[in-house]
Amino acid sequence: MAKRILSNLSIYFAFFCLITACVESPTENSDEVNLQVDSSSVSSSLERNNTYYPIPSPEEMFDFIKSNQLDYDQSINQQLNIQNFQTEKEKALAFGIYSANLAYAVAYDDARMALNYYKTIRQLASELGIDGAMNQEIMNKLQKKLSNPDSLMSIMSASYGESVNFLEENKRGNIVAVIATSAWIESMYIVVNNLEYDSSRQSVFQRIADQRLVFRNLWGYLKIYEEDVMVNDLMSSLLTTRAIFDNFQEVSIGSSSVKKKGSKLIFAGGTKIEMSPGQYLELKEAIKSLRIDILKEKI
Amino acid sequence: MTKKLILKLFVVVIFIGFGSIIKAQSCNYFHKRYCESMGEAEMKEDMQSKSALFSKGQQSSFNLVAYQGQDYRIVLCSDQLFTEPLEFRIYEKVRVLIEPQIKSAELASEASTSNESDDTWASEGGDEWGDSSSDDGWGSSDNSQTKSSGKPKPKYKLVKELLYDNANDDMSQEIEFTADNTKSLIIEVKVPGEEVVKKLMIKEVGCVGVLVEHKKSGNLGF
Repeated sequence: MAKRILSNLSIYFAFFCLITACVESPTENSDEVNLQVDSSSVSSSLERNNTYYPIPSPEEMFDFIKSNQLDYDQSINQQLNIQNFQTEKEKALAFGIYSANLAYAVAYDDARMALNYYKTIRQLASELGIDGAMNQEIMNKLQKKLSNPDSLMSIMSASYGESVNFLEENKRGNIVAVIATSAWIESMYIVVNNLEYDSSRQSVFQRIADQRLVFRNLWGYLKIYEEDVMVNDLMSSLLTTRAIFDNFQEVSIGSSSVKKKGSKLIFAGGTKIEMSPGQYLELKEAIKSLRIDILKEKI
Repeated sequence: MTKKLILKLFVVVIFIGFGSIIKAQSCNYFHKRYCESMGEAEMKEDMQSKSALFSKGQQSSFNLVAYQGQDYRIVLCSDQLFTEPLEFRIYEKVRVLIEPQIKSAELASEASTSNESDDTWASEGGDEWGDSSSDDGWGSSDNSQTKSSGKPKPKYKLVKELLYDNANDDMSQEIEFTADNTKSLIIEVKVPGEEVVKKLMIKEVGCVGVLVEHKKSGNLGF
């Protein structure tokens, strides 16, 4: 009898745990649930005075270059041989690289390549243990939406974001750091590879110069995981690029001010980053060699 | 009987395990589900959006790059248990030269205009890359002396300049803005309330979402 009561109570307790965990907004139940938890036990997602470094995903760069009439470079497309990527670091690097390539193919409506990249990324995701974020449902959606680049792009973004979230929630931020870095390197490579300095394309080169700020955030993210050997190695290989960015001038364009235009605020003044043609060449070479260093002869 | 008990205990373990997973991931996509904009302009979600678990009195910072030529909208949302509106500030990260041009007295004057008084971020003692200002730690040349001239290379530090504080805007939970030039911003979000130092009550912990959206600015050109 006692055993029966105990087992029934266990099930009620389990059910209670499940319900309290599932409640998205704990407000309604908060008066009933007044348990104490040690802050350290929930530190995976609750850390006091956290600083976050969200990294823009690759498609934002390609959206921009496409709207600035930069041609699609088919030669960028890779021979996909992921068997060559063996270690966790290599797989994470490849995941980032192919994510950037996928975003590039999608931005330029190359559906065939997009699907190929997605298949490869899915396989890499499986090997990295994040295949939950890259499932058959997404693949089916992709196939259905092949003729609609906007839908493809939103599926891609959601998928990339889901992978990042999944890894962060599972305390694998070091892998996110590697993926985000290699995706950024590949995006930069795609943009600069065949692009000669041209002062008439001011907005394009300004966007490249502005990557100094993105790189700074990326570096901030990497710093969080610098104790991790693979992140530390990656940071060491980024030092040349960092030194080049460090030499970009930040020139004042007036004191920071805020104006109001309708319901919108305009943030004016502050500083602007300047990149000389010589610095662009240095950056281009550094990105190329970084990429060679990452890929070695794996593709 | 024993088999039944084992089976029931197994169910218990599965339920508890499953429950913990859900709890751990409960803030995932909170911003997508709950941060609704009141604005009319249609914008696209920016991948720099973020959701996280907060406690009362907790403050976090989100680093964001806002590109020239884009309109941005930031919408905040939180669990209903946080009854007061979130405190929300936007700062611009600005690189300031500290050596050799600016001497210590001048730097002190600079800091007083840069909202550094309560700034834990800028007072970490590092340069803009988070390295110690006295020792680069990498042995790299970029923070040391220039080989050719022998002159010391300029040293910089980052300060943050306040651009927006919702305390001056009826505690608005949404803002639309355009940056005249690309800016590195810090979005600082704080849940009002007294910070709990050690033990946290479940009722004091909830999700906060920061939805960032963007679109191409409509007012470029003629």
